[in-house]
Amino acid sequence: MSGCNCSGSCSSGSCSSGSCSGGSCSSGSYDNTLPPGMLAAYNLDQETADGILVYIETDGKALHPAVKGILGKAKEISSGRVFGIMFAGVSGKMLYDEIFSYGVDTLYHMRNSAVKEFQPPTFADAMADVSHRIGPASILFAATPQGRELAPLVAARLGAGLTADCTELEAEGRKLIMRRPALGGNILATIECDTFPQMATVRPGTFPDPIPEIGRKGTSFSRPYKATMEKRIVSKDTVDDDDDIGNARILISLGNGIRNRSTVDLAHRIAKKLGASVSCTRALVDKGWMPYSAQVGQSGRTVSPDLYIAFGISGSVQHMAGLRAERIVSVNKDRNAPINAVADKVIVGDADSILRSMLESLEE
Amino acid sequence: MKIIVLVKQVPDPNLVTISENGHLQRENVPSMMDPFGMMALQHALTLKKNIGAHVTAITMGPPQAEDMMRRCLEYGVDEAVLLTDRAFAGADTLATARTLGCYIKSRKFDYVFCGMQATDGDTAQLPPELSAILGINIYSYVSKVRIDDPLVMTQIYDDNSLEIEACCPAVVSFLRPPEDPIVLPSMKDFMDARKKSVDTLNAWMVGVPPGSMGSKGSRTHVVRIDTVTKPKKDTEYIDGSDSKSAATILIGEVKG
Amino acid sequence: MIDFVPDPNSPYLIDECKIRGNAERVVIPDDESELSSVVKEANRTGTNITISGLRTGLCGGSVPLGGILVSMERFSSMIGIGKDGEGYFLRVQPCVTIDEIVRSVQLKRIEGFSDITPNACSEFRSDKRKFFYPVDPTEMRGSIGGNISANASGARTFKYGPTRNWVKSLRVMLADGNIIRIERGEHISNGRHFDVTIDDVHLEFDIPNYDFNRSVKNATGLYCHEDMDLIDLIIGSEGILGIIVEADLRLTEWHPLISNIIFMPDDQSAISLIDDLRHDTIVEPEFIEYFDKGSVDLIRRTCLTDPTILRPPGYECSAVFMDMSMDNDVESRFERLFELVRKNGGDPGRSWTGYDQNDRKRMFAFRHSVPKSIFDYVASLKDGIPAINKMGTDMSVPEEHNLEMMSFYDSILKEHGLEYVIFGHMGNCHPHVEIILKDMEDLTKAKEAYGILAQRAFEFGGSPSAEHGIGKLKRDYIRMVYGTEGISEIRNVKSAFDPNNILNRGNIVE
Repeated sequence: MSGCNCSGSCSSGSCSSGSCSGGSCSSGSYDNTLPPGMLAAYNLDQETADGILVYIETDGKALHPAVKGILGKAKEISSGRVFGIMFAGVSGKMLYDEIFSYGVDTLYHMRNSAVKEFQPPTFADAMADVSHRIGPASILFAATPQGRELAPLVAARLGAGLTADCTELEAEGRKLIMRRPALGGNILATIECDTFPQMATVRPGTFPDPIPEIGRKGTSFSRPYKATMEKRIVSKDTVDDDDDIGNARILISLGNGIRNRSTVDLAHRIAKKLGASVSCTRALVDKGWMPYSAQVGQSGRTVSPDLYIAFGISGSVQHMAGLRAERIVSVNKDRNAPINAVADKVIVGDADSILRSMLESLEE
Repeated sequence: MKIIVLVKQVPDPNLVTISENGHLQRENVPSMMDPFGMMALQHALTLKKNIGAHVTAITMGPPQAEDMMRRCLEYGVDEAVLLTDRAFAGADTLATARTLGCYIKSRKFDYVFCGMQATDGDTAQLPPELSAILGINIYSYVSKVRIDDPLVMTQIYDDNSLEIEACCPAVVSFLRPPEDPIVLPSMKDFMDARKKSVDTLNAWMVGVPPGSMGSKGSRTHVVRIDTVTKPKKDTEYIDGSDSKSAATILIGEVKG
Repeated sequence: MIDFVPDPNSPYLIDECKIRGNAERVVIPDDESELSSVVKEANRTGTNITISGLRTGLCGGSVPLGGILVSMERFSSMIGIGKDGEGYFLRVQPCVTIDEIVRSVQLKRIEGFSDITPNACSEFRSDKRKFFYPVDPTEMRGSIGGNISANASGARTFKYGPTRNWVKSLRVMLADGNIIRIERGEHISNGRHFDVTIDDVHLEFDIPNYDFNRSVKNATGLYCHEDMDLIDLIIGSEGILGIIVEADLRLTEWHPLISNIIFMPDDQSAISLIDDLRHDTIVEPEFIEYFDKGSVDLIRRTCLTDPTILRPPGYECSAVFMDMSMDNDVESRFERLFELVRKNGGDPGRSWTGYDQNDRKRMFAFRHSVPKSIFDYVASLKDGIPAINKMGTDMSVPEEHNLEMMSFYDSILKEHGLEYVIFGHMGNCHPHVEIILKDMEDLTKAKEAYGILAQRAFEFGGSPSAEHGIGKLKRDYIRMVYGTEGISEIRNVKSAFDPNNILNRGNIVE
């Protein structure tokens, strides 16, 4: 996996002239991958593969919340050791105790002071290398944007089967039995791999956080890795965390039944007064009324609030796929909107004017 | 600049419904181009319009997918390629990536554009797997492309957005359509496309090794499918024609 | 059965024309026997019954003026499929929506349907051909009962005619609570006299002496002509003769269509392209719709805040929206179409084309975005939600008077100082002129202009109410078109069916 670090040198001008067009620029790396399915260097010993390796996603300071539950589950079902792999700087050492307390036996702390950001192919190369060394029976990732990008890169390097977005995991000895919902949660598919390692990404929030075993010890290896393929970052922007719909307990959610753009502002003002966040369906993102980060559904975020108030949301299969609320209240003109079938309470009425009245009474 | 766009034919998700006994009804459901693949196509066409990129659309699918490839020609792609063979059937994402990768390696390109995921599987695994098989970089969840040298793309990771220099060659997976997409082909485009044809290739012509395609080349297998039966809820219906009282009820919901 | 006293704000007391009525009771029967008992009781006490479906009407047909409001919402089952010499037909209850009909026929989703004729369901399911119900009334959430009562039409009426053409039989509950089945072709009047006995019910009456204008798209008053079919009298009668409890609808074979939106340099060239297309035997358009420059501009404005609507091109243009068959002749159709477009000063490259279900859906959404664009426009002027925003005309004229009528719209509306846009069913010479109401003063002026326009449409041999019906809002046109004589003749027909005048009092005639 070398020869593809084009950063900076590959201008689009030279690309069109052909010097960097697929065949030539990256021909060096094809030797590693051809013929397909024959990634011999990484083939794991099928007889001895054991234990579970978990990708520990961090922001450099803390574990991603979705990782904890996966570590707990890995501890519960692993027939062998639980391995963790974490890419972090020196400060990563602060996390060791916490990681061990969730059941990790062996932690690979991957270090390269030159790599500052999440670099998928580089991380994947390093992870494939570690996997080859330890030979796990299974490898798990949280199905976060990072995990969903990294897992397939590792799977292709290992020639391994990968199941996306699992909501149930079971083990029969070394064998991993994976379940994932499909078609908007209306069916549940049970999937098995036919080689080791068996790989899966796990939908965030699927497994409860384990009770940490304070003082539990493990082994840590600090391991350098090579930067193989990097992307050059021009700028970075973080959306305000206050509005993170993923963690919100109360969501005021807006759908295509909202007729006026001004209603979106009303909803934000109401949310502020009620300590809620505002989410939406894809329709409103497409209209440019709401940012993508507020979109609930198959192509957006999965949310699990205590209360989800759906204003003018019909409840398409795609939207419902991202919704796992304790209680759903639907405000809709259409008594027969699909969302009403799963709602606890339905108010048959006009979403725009009801939101307006809500703000009026809150401001009184 | 040469761009390969991967598109996929999927059953119209709005018309797949669940019957009362929980069965999935997809018979007679018309198929459509997956919306995420469509975004990738629109980004490629925007680059074609603005900087004269050469665009090739590729799909792996049943023979009926030719209709979709024809539509790609009408949208103005320079070439449309359909990889179709019984031997491709039952492929998981890895086997699909290997089959597509095997063909793409025979082509010259700067970028492979694809949707972040397809609405029929939502695995989002194909683009990274393909990039690994091609041995090139991957830029996932791209929402914006700015023309520069090289192209500058905006990636979205949950609450972070990242502007990157998108050096080629690379696989790019798209999350959002371009801001001012090509709307629809014109009647003239439609007639012009009738003079072009879709290249149809089978496994032998692509040269995929038998063990790495279709269900044989797949490392994952679906062993069971269960229908999820959701318990019927006792939904309380309230007349909300008086928005004042409806508002009071809702505020009560929140405040407990 | 649900029976309650409605709140004054109840949604049961209003329809899409936004006129609010009143009722002492709202009754929601579960089945025919419950409906029958309500009707019988009302007939005994002489109480007005207003029948309501899904309340998508535009003329107040389902708005109650006192008495009992009977909502048919629980009559919402698809019953079955049958087949006879003319092909398949679908049997439905009246509150099935058009959308449900379209979907179940298109996708052949007919689980739980009964065989109306032996083995019809399995034959339909295994039939290689695709079928469809060809009336496309724009509002897909409306009920079929409402569509039949108003004889709804739409863009596709250009080729397939209105709802009337697709109703094979009806079961109708009369004011005494008895139900009769009326099969098309079985009960024909002798001249203008009906003398029929159906299921022990005897009906004898004369139909009005006027001839219902069948030369243009028309929804003004009772349909009648010599030697007419009884079923046609019920269709479009807005519920004043009986309550539809079941309907058999004809289906027709579906064929692939290609939709085109053609951008023409100006209104004149677009209208003249439509004139060329209307009877062209090579292109054979299935419908033709028109957008004047003002409507395209309004849509362009709305696209700034709602990119889900197809954005019109950046250059100034009017537009023609037409469908044609996508068969083996599609190339010669296009060649001819290109020729006509060029002849009228257009460019075939300045167009959109689509045949895939979703692309066509987007094109139809573009068409339907005109009313919303007007709403947005008026809202932006007022910086808030406007109480009134537009008044739309619904007048058709014979083809030879179309151009005169178009320029008459222009001169009258300009004279009244009103802003307006024109779009709609130009293939049928039935454009919708949308008068933009910025304030109450505009409303007064628009009402006056509307009367003048309707009068002129009638004088041209057209219809002042071409598809929305009469309901309670447009009764003046009955007087305009049929005179006092006509009104009393319509009343006579009503008394033959409903001697105590309990059904939908106030619709068509007072």
